[in-house]
Amino acid sequence: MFFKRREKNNGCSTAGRPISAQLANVKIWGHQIEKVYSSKKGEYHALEGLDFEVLDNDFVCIVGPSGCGKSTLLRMIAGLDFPTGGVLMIDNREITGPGADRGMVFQTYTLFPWMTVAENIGYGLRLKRMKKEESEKIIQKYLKAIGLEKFRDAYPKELSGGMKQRVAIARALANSPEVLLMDEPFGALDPQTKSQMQLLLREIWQVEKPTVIFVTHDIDEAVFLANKICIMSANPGKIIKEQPVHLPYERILELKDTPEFFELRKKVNACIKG
Amino acid sequence: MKKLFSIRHPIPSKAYACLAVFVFVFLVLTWYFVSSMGIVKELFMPSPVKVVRYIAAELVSGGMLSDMWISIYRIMMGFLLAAVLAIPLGILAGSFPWMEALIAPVCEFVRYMPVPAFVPLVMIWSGIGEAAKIIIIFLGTFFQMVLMIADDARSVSDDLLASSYTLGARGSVAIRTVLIPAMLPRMMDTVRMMIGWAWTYLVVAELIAADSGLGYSILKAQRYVKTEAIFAGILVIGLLGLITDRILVLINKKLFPWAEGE
Repeated sequence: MFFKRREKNNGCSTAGRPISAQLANVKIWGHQIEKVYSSKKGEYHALEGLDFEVLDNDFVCIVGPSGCGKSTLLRMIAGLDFPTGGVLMIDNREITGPGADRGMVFQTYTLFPWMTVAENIGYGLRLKRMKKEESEKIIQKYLKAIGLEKFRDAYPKELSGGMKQRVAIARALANSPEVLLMDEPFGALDPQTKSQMQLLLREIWQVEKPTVIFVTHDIDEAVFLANKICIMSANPGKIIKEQPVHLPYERILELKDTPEFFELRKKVNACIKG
Repeated sequence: MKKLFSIRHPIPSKAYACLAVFVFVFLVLTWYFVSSMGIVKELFMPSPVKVVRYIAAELVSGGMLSDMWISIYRIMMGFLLAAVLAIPLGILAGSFPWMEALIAPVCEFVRYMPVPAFVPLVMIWSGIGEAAKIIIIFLGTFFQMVLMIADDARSVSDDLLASSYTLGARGSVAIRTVLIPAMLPRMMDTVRMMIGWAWTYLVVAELIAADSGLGYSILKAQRYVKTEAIFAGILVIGLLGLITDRILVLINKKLFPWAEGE
């Protein structure tokens, strides 16, 4: 299967796969990814020679300076954007477009404003033509998980920013995606709400165990959430370091005040500043 | 005083209503004094009392009612025909660039052709029957409406569509379940504006090629120098336009309670 796909992707060298990628539990695998925008002024290399690997059920954060192409990479995994060179695969299949297996939460508020909270969460289930009783159970479960049972019949315009993003996460998770992609989902929230959302997200991840790829420019956030941090540089955008996060599995807010946390933050910061 | 001239400083809604009513009252009073004090001859400018009395008498005798009904009928037919064709074409043009290439440039071109100039041609094609008026209203609104609906479709955010893709929607499903519901409030606003235009083109059609309708009643009044009837015709058309507009605003509010920014 893999080799057949590689032939299709002619012109892109795949120059030998890393051994780890041959293990069964690699979920997303990217090799020598390149994104070039051509205009009259010339070519702009947004991403170049980017290697990337995410294990199944892992929680990975991507950090980097603005304009390093971290959102572009995420959109490519979602199938909303495509590399101009290299290979990008999910479960050893090349990513050819978006699908329900990769749910995404955006920085902008993307709830469907004409649907209530419950209808938003059930949107993907309705597309799957799931039976009413079944989908109702799932909707109820996630309403409870995000603590918005009282708001099930509210329209998005009645919700605060933090509530909207909670519903967006629930909407993505209700579809039981294999991969959850998050593009600075808490970027527009105040610090207080942000910490609560981080806690909630980590909690949900520990229960549901989807593979999470989380893009952020907030290093504290990355250290707090991730099992592994991929640090990107700009011009050209590529991953310059993978930083494992050896913090306790159960993440609590007090963790942010521990020397281990400071140490990691320092490491990542130093790496970004070069 | 300073507050009044600070930009976008809000005022109470009651004050807003009072100011609006004041302007109407002021205009009518000015009109009343100009005509009743003989500054302008009654023949050129009948007093508002006379115009209102004329409208009341016409409504009682039913003469104006039949003109109103035929005009409303023409608007409905012409406008519905234009909307039924323009809305799907606009949505397609706003969703697929290749469709836009096929549809938009032609519409851009035709919409700059003055509709009254089509009237002689339409009369040669279809005489002065009902079809002529419907065609003129259609020509006046259709091309503009396609372009505006296409804009409405384009205004739906990319991220909203993208999130539907990541939830499993593709192609026509995304259009049906996300693009169309998301654009509906704006689309209804477009429709509301276009009905206003339709009234203009209706009068154009009735002034030139008709033997009934509100526009024709104005033309007939000119022949007999019945200025109060001209005033009455114009006022009634204005009022009907205003009423349709307000009804559509109310319908929009009822249909789209979820719409943001109100």
